[in-house]
Amino acid sequence: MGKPKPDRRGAAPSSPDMQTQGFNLFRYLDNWFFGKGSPTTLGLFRIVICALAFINLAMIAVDFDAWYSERGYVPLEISRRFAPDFAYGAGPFELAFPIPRINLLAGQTNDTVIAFFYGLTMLAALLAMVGLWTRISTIALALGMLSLQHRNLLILHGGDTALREFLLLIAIAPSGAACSLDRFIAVWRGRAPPIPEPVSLWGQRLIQFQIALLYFTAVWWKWQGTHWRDGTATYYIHQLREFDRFWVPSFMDRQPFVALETYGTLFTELAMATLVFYRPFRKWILLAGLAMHGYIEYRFNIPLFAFVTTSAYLCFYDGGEIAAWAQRLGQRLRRVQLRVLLPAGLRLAGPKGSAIRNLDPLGVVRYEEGTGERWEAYTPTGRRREPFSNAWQRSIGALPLALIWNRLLLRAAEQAPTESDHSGRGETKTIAAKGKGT
Amino acid sequence: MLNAQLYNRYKWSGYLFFIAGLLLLLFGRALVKALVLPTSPPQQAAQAFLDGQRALSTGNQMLLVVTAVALAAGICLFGIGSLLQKRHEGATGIRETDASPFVKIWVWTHIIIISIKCLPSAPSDITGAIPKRRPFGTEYVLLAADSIKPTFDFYLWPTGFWQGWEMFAPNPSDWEGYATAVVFFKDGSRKEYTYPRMYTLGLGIRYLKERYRKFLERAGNDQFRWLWPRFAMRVAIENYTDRDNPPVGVQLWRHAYTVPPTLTFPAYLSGLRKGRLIGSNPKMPPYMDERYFPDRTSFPEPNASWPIDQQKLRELSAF
Repeated sequence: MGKPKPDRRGAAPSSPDMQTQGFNLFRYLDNWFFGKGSPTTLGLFRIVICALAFINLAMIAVDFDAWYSERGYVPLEISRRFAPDFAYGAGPFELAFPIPRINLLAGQTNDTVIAFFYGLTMLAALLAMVGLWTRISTIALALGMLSLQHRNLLILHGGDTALREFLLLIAIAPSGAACSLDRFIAVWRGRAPPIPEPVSLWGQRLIQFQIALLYFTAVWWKWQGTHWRDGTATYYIHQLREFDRFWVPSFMDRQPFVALETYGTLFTELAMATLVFYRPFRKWILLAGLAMHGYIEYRFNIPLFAFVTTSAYLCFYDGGEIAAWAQRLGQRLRRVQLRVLLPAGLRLAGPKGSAIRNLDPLGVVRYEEGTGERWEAYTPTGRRREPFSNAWQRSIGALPLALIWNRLLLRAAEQAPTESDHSGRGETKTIAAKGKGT
Repeated sequence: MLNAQLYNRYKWSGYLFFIAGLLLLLFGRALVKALVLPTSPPQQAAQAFLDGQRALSTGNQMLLVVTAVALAAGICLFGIGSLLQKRHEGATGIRETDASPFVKIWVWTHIIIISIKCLPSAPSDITGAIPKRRPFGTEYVLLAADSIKPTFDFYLWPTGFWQGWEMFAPNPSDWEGYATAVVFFKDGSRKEYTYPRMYTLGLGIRYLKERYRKFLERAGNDQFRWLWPRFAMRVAIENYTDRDNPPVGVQLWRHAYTVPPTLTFPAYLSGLRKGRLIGSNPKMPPYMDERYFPDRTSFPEPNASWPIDQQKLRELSAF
């Protein structure tokens, strides 16, 4: 009995129950939304979206005085008038008491406090990006971003809305279960297995659904307008000089190219909401989406919108697919491969060794027991390299560990078992400092 | 000591308390009204009204307390359940990795709510007291969605899950414009100030300053005229560089034109038969300059400016 093979039409494998009881839509959806899988995708998405959140905050910080201070365009009184702190008129309901918006800056007029809060949110973005205290840092980032956006809603565009939605979702999903320092520490201490345990993928599925909903409703909204139907919509956007960015030839602003762009946008957005879930089409639809956003990013001045939206495309791939892709890429990158030879009698094994190897998702660094006294490293062409810094440069996951990398590598090196160890008398020792090379 | 094995009971109790609190929050006032307000014969109507108001006030106060207690109890019980679950898992070594039913309920509810909320509004010609035409097809869905969308605001607005994806839709804007200001100083001099204009900024800097354009989308719009005094104050603050010569008045100007329509794709196709391969675009009109604050109808004098509150200016400026 082998494992059930993935259905080529979708992500959810067909379980034996489904085969015997016939197709049940609810069970299929339940399996798709809540079935288990590798958390790698969610971890990778967390890194990208938190990096974008940090860049976004850094960009707005340039004009902090204009947008968040009491001296600026949007002091508290303006912010409150545009969007009150409390949801008094919550639709048709007569609420027992008003529901407050989540805004930790509600009522705050002290610029220093707001600036400090802004700085803390940026710090949370950095911590969430590297995955340190992930649960707390992602929640802090989501709350911080939410508060800042609720403090000044007048400067937000679609990219900010998408960023906020994604940050909220990664804060509540198990986004630290892979690609995080938390996991590195857990593996290092032997508290987690080297390969991430499968988790329920509802967080990743919600992000997929969110992106599909974004495109689907965007197309529906557009289809209600006359200019999207008559093939002239992009002409109007091109004429808005305030959106201009890089040069494009003038014929791009004329028919039939305007119609091509207009209808191409509608088609791509509709495909991103529908056909992208059909696995044989997925790659091509995502490439079309990337091309569309690439053009938008090149042509129009809408900061980070394309990056935030397309970063969510990652979630259309399962963790296993991404890990396998990284390994294939590592095999192709022969020039960057490195063979690190440990001093004789030492090897990289046990939980610490697994933790170090996990930091190299491309698998370009191989750690082997050497015969010499020192640590050595060689490229595939036989050129000698400094082992510590070169291993660090090639291990993508080790980037945040620059300051302690050498110590980590030395501590991870264990004495290889000897014959006497095999007979059961000896024990594995960690050698802290033996012959640090070069 | 709490029994860790019973964590599920705590969680479910917490969940039920929370839902009860939520229902009280949403429908409690209507319930209190229905229960408290008496139906009296007309001759006693005045007294009954006063009694009813008193009872209503007491009822609403009680409702507030009961709702708050139910919500708090729900959150506390659920939290205790979660802690007990962790303890139980630690003791047994068996970790629950399946999605809990609470997560499933929330995910499905969330999906339904955001899906309805993001749907486009029904076209204007099928809405209103006297619709111009009958809806057809999916327009019935949009009409139904419009009627229930406000129901979900109590969830979406406070939590930050609010969203809408009408980017460049239903039609992209055809308003091309930028803003300037004229600042009048105490010594009688004046200075022209250009609000950051993306088109004239360098490529890198305009990426950083794009928020100014977004802000102007509203601050340059008549619908948000209540923003204009603050806009003027900020312009004054930015131009207050000489302690002894503060800005005393500000005029806001917008310079804009409406993008003229171009050849539609069907019209291009009909021209194609006549051998025209590439369509042409109309020439863009010149920018129209308009002083919009203070507006010309109320303040017709050319030098009329919005007076700047000097005390506030001193408080807010660097001096």
